[in-house]
Amino acid sequence: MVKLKLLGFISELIGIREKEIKLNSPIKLKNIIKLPKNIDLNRLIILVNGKAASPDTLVYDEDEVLLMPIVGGG
Amino acid sequence: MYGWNGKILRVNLSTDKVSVQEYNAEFAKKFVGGRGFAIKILWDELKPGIDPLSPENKLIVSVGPLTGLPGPSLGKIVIAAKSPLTGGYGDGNLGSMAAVYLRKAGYDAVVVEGKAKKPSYLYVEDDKTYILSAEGIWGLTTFEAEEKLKEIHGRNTGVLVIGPAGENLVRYATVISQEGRAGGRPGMGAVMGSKNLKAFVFKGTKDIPLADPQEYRKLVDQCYEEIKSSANYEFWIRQGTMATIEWCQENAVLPTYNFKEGVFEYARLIDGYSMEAMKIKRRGCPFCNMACGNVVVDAEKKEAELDYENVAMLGSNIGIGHLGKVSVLNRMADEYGIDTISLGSCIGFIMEATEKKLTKEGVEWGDYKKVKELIEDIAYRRELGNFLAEGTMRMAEKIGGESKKWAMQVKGLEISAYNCYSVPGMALAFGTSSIGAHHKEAWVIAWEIKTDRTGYTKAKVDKVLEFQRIRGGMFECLVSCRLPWIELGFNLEWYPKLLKAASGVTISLDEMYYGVADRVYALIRAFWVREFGGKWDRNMDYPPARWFEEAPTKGPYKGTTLSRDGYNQLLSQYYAERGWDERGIPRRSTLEKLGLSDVVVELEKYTSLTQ
Repeated sequence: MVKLKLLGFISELIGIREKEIKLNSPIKLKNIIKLPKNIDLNRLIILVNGKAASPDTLVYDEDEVLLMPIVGGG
Repeated sequence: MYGWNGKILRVNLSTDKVSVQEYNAEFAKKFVGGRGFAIKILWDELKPGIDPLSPENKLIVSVGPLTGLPGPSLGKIVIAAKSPLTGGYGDGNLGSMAAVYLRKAGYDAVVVEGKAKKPSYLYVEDDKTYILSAEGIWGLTTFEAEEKLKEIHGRNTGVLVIGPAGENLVRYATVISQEGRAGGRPGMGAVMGSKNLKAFVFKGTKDIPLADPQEYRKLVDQCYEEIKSSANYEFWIRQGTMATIEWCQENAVLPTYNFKEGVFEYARLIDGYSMEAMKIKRRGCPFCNMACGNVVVDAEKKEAELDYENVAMLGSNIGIGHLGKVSVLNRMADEYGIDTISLGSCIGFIMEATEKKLTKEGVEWGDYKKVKELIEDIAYRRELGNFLAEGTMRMAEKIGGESKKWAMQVKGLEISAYNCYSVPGMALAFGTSSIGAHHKEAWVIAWEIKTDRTGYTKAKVDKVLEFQRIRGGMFECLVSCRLPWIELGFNLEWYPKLLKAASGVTISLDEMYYGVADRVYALIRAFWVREFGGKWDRNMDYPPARWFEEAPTKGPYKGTTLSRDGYNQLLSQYYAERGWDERGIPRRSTLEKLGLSDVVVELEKYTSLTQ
């Protein structure tokens, strides 16, 4: 199972904080999750197994995927 | 001259002399306002080597060419002086109606020097300036004092005020406005206190003339609309910067137990979602349509205003995992006028010293009751609080041994709430920040995590420089908030357009970055070098040894530290890109290129300059 976790406003927009997805074969990250049109996946932080990834990164079953916004802190 | 009033108010508290200085368009375009005006005045006028808490120091409040006008988060004001915490250049900015009313009174800056014989405050109403007695106000908390001043002078005033911490010269005392807006981390509140100056009260009724009023109004409407249309807008309104607790926890950079760890076992209890359950309203700066001040009811049933930095530093960093209690500590800091970041770092430091049995009198991790007492003791410089009031750099000097390795500061200013043991670009941003370790100038950590977290690449140096030019340069000189851009994707191209419509003056983004911002950074660095003379070297731009030597024991990056060689390489590349030499001192050619030839002559009295 792929463990998908979303943070901040991404999580709110999609309505998911955590989700598990079964993959029979590896697919590109951009095909795992459908984002609203006003969200550019390239402008989000994407980590796969804790490492920086891109929308075209192949995701395998058992991977952990984290999607989060670029925040400014204060 | 549209865009600027062209006037600086001068006040000498020793002689009660008040005067008005006019300046020309060339000065305005070269330094723009805010931080630019402040460093130019301090460089030109401050005698090197003076005690920052002596009458000889000069305290400057300054605004920018867009201040006081409607527009995205334009109601901010800079407060600057030689810092009693670092001994170098210090400043901070805060959102306040004081910014608006100073501009509407007809001034772009106020320069205060000397020391009042008795506690006083400054009241400016349009063209009239009064130095008034602070009897009955001195000794009050910031909240009480502002209320009292508004009872005297009316609600249509802007107030900048210090609390007992500033009066008692706590080295990281801040300036407060509107019960929670705080600025001037490097002890600007203590500088006010040293001058017997409790507050600035501004009342201005003049119109701010615009070069093209119709165009300006049109642009402002579009700007507000763009901000509101951001996909992040609604969530931002709910949590503001508090969403960063969860973000930092997930990325294992949340300062925890005096930066020993990057994850906190009770993070969920102090995060943005916990805050939402306690939230009763929002507060913000003038003209902001994305107000970030989260007002909650704290554990003592009083209102407290929260944001990320103060919750991380007074929560995870000192082992308190209860947001109601963290809120109390934060409110106390605002009431006393103490910087929450340095406060959380000083408390974390003494807790670690206690754990290591290095002090006779100590505080255990998470001891809320003792921390409450300690905050009051810091504000009044009593007992152990008197020691903490000095800041971590001086505390470590006194404790000795290896404690300076975990005094989490750069140049004397405590590091804000990002644990950088595995993010070298952000460590460089802290190392090279122009007031000591502060995040406001180059918050590169998100970009770094997105691209190449642990690498030591030239791209990281370039990103630090890019952000310093935008945030520490353009925004600090315009005195405009960075959050619309960094949080909601507001387009930077709006700023030259707003400036043009307001002032008739064209300053492109490139000119803002490579002209104004680079000039201001070089001048601030020259100020530091002049103050430290022969003691200045590149080690001043290094983060604490903890990040190089002691790896966290928890989280996905446990076991990781920064590389000294890697950091050193980044620093050399940073200097080269800035046109500074290997000591971190601007080259003669760089100063000349930036229109600072006069600085060459002065600086060569204190150090040799490289061509």
